[in-house]
Amino acid sequence: MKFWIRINGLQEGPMDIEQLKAQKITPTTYVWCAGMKDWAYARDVADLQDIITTNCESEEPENINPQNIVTATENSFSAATEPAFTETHPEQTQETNPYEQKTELSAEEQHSPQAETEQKEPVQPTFITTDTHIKSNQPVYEERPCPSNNMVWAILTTIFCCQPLGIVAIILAAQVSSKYYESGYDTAKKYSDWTAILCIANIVLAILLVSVFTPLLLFAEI
Amino acid sequence: MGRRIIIISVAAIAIIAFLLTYLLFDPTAYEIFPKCQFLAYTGLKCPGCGSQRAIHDLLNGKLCEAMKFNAVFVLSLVIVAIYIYGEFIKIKHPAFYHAISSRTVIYSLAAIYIAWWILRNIFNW
Repeated sequence: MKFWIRINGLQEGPMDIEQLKAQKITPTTYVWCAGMKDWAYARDVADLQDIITTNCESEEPENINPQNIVTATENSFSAATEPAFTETHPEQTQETNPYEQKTELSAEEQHSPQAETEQKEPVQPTFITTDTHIKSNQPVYEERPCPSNNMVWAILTTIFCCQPLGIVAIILAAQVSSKYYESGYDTAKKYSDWTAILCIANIVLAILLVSVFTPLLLFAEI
Repeated sequence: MGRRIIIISVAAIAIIAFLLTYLLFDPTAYEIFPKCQFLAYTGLKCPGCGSQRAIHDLLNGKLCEAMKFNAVFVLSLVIVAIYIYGEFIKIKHPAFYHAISSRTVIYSLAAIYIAWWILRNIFNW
């Protein structure tokens, strides 16, 4: 079973339980896996209870809100009530119904059949865009991961291609991450692509100048 | 799979050839090394002028001489390394990647390059 999570606005995944253990899952980390209707807080996903509790025990005990744990687990299997440092057994979690989606946010989705698709291959998560989340001040996340800002290429072409285009590429690269959070993936991808186009144009221009234009000019002078 | 191995080996050979060339040959002593076109057309230095000499000195372990030829180039190598590292640990530490991709950081880098471009032509660095 594979999970997707969101940390600091970046979507990561698919990850299995073992990989999730390495991540810092707090009760309010958004998670999603196949079969879930929408993204949910980690504290509301029965499978993740022991991961969250171990993390909280070892790192930030003050963050445990006993009420959350109780509400999240009362209908699910008893993993969360076990001692905090017990190991997770992925096989065991597969047998139980893991998709208890207790969301305060999506009351209108409660009627939907749960756990029907749980054994299917994961498909890309459908994304939180419903009005309920906006009303409840939930951050609206983007489904696709942030495109690369191509900064490495922008810097290298600024240095090696000797053209002002490199500076423009750096300034465009600055927009990628910010636009991703402000206006979403499509705008960010546009800036990412333009950064790449400018870097390529810069390289082509430099090669043309060195190998064609300048020798021709010198030849004409002679 | 086979295609990927070919691409990686071609890239590796190219990088090794590049490094060997700059390790063994001093760019000031040979005509075949490409010249800065910005300098050729405008008479002004670009932010990368001196990089080839700096690479030669760096590969020969002379950091101070490399800094004299182009200090910002040496700095850029560090910055590029940080960005590549950030891309690799994006999954484990997204906060780090987010921090180095923010407008503030990248605008500061752009300001460094523009300032370097202007100042090196004024003070002939």
